[in-house]
Amino acid sequence: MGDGFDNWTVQLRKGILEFCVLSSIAVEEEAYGYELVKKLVNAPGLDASEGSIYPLLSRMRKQGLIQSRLEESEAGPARKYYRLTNAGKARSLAMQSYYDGLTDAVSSIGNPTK
Amino acid sequence: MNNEDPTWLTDEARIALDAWEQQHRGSWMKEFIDPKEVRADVEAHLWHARGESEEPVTVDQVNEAIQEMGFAAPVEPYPLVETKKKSRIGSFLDELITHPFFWGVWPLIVVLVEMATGLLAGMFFDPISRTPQAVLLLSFCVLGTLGLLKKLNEQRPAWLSILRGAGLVVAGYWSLLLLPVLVIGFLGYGLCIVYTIGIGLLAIPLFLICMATAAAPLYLFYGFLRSTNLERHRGPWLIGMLLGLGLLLIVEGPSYVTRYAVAKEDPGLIRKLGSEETLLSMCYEGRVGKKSFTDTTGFIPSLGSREMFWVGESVDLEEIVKRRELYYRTTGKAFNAHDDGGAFPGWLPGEKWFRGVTLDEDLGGDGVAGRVADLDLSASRLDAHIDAASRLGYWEWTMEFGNSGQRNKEARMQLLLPADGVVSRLTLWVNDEPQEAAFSSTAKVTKAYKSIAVQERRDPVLVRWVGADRVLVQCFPVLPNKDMRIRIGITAPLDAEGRFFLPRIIEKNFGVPEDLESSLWIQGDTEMSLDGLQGKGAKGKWRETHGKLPARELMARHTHVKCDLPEEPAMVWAEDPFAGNTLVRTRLPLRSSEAKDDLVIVIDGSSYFSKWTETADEAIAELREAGHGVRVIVAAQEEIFEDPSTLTAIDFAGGQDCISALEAGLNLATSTGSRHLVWLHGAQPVTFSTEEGFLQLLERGFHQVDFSVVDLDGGPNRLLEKVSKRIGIAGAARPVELEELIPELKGILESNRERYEWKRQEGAPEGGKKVSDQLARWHAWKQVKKASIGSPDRDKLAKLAAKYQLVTPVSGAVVLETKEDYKRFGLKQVDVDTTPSVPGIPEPSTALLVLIGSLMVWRRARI
Repeated sequence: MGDGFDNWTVQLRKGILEFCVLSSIAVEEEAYGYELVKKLVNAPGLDASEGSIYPLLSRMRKQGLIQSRLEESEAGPARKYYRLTNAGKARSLAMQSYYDGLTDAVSSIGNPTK
Repeated sequence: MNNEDPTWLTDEARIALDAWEQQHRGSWMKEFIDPKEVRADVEAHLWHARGESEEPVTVDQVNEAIQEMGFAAPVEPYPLVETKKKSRIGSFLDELITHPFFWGVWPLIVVLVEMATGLLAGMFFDPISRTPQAVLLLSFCVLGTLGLLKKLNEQRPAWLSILRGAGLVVAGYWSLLLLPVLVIGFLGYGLCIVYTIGIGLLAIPLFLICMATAAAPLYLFYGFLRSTNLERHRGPWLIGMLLGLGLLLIVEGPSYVTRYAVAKEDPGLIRKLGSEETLLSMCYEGRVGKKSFTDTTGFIPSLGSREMFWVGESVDLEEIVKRRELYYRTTGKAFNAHDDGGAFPGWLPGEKWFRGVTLDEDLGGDGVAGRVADLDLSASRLDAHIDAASRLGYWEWTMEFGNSGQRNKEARMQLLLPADGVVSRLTLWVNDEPQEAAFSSTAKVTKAYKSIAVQERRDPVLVRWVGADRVLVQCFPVLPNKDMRIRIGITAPLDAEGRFFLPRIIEKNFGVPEDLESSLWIQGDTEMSLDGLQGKGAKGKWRETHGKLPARELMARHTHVKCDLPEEPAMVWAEDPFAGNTLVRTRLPLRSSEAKDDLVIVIDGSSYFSKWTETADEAIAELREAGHGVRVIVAAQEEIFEDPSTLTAIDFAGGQDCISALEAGLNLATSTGSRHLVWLHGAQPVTFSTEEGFLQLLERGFHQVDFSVVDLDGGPNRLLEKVSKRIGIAGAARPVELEELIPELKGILESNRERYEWKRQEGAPEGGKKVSDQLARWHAWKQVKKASIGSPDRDKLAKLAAKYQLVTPVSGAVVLETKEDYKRFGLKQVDVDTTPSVPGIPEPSTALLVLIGSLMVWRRARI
């Protein structure tokens, strides 16, 4: 498809990753960090890497959208859990609403009968 | 398994991770990323990537994971330092020592034990002498115990960091204070083993407990230190430290300010920022003969001194006297007026075992001085007889003292007698047998008492007159777990309104239990009542009232029996058993002064006066309206105010030295030609400047000024005691109530007090009413009191007072243990038949039998 398309998909994925992180945590009350990362990495089409998710998680925590806690584990290292802060919940809802509007708009442009 | 002991990592991999973390933590922290969380992410990745494999993770896998996760790559080569694996015992000890039990539960137990027993307080200093200290320490112990430090360790909200910072400062303060105690404890422990295997072994558990107590805050400190996350929440953590400092300032600041103000002798600073509680405890420091039983703020200045190691003489009585004086200047109250003054901190019944030897430096002294531990009034009984015709009454106060301590104690108190009253009987129970006193010159009885009590440590009791209707009572020894019983008889007149005042303890070195009740029985040939007494009885012409009143209440106010007196006979007489003749007293008509005398009022503006300002303003205005010239001098705020427009504008605080004001008042009276100088005063339990200048002006001044006093507060007054020994003083020695001030001042100006003429004769006079021989005692008292002022022949007066068995300015009473003791000191015990007593009221049956007998004799005579 060419460089232009690749660039466009990268930008789209990059833009949507934060929304995906927030949505994944919002689904569960509290998300185990490793599983959260694996879920996002393994999501088909999202094409996210751990190398992009971990810095994103750090940034979002710094912004106060998510918070984390460590819990001693019976087996293995301490487990890290993430949950949304109130600001994160608000951001997640706002993103969901905007995303729904956007997809509706895109769909209606491609199919005027809708 | 946890990340502290990761057997799933090779040692190299773990070191590689450590090194990587060390290399990048600075940059992460700059971006507010917690290195511990990054580490946890990497370890979680490694753990899950390893899956079910039995092989531990290698350095290469670590590097791969770091790369995959998008973190900055490690800088090669890793510093491969071989770390020693902890042994199982080492790990166990590490777990043990860092367990919240040691951070919270143990210090909590230790603080409670210290509060209950006062163990450290008895040996070194009191680390928890005040309630705020206890609250602060206990709070942080409880926080530690709750495991906030451990369980919430991983969440680390900001408020926890604040709490930790505060805890670190608070626990650190006490740890630093107690560190020297640990050192001394170790030294003592060593000495015990080396030198005194026998007794020393007994002391070892004590030292161990003591050291454990001292070490507890150290652990608390360690706990807070260990749990404090210095890297993260630096701001909140610093805020916490400031909070801790603030809490310490609130709790300890007033005490430090007090010590500074005491050194600078600044009562105003103590009132503003200091602690009266600390000042009170400072009045007792050194009472145990060592520089122990001080508090946290007193311990610091003693660090490094000899006193800290219990070496050398450290009781600085001059310093203690200075502090006691400063306590009065600051509060306006006597330091020994507090029931909890000098109390030992422990509240367990057996705490006395830890307090060490307590010395009473005032044993056999000339004042009441400080409270003595474990000494209490254990029983009190007051009996009285009122003779309406002579307007005289007689009190017998029986008291028992109990000693729950381990050493003999001396009970001391100052009694305020009813106005113009005199002690006329003294009894001590020796081996359950009442022993009457010997009355002799003050010097002689005092010498006997001091010799027997202080040097020979045997049973005497002494009563001395100290001035202004006050006597000092001393009895020794009150044996451990035994009671000492004494009885004091007081002959006193009723006042013009028919009030018979109770004697009152105004200063004491013993405690009075809150629930102690005093039994009262008052009888007489007149109707009478006393607030609070319900019991009433009548038998012929006799009336009685009886009941029980709280002993503390009786000491707190000046109580009286109100008598409904019939008109006073113009003449009363009594057989004088001491002179062998008849004493006749004739009432003279009242002589009111018509002259509008001027007066100067000197006001002792100590703190008590704040409730008197309006009444005093009214009294002054009323006297001025009545045509009297009234000038006012006020001693307040350590200054002198002359003729203030209103007293309500002055701030009455602390205790004042009134000598300068009295001198100024006397000079003003002289310059304005005022006839009267009236001193309105409260308690003045310390001696300030000398009274000689004032007395010189009064004695030698060309213009005669009558000096009167009005006691507005009640309580010991050293200045009044001294002055009353040198000059005659008119006025109410008893404290007056608010509504009595104006009549009292008018009474002084009008000189309308009762006057009598006395004469002696053989046999009964014609007319008049026969009264009890208390009349003879009271007359002798008046004679001796009047003559004692400036009399050169005090021996003659002392003999007269001793003959009538009276405690006067020149004579005292002492009970000694054996007949040999009396002989040795040239004293003669009074015959019990000559002592006054509260007479029994004859039973009706007895009276009836006498009547029937008389009738039968009369009938037989007729037959």
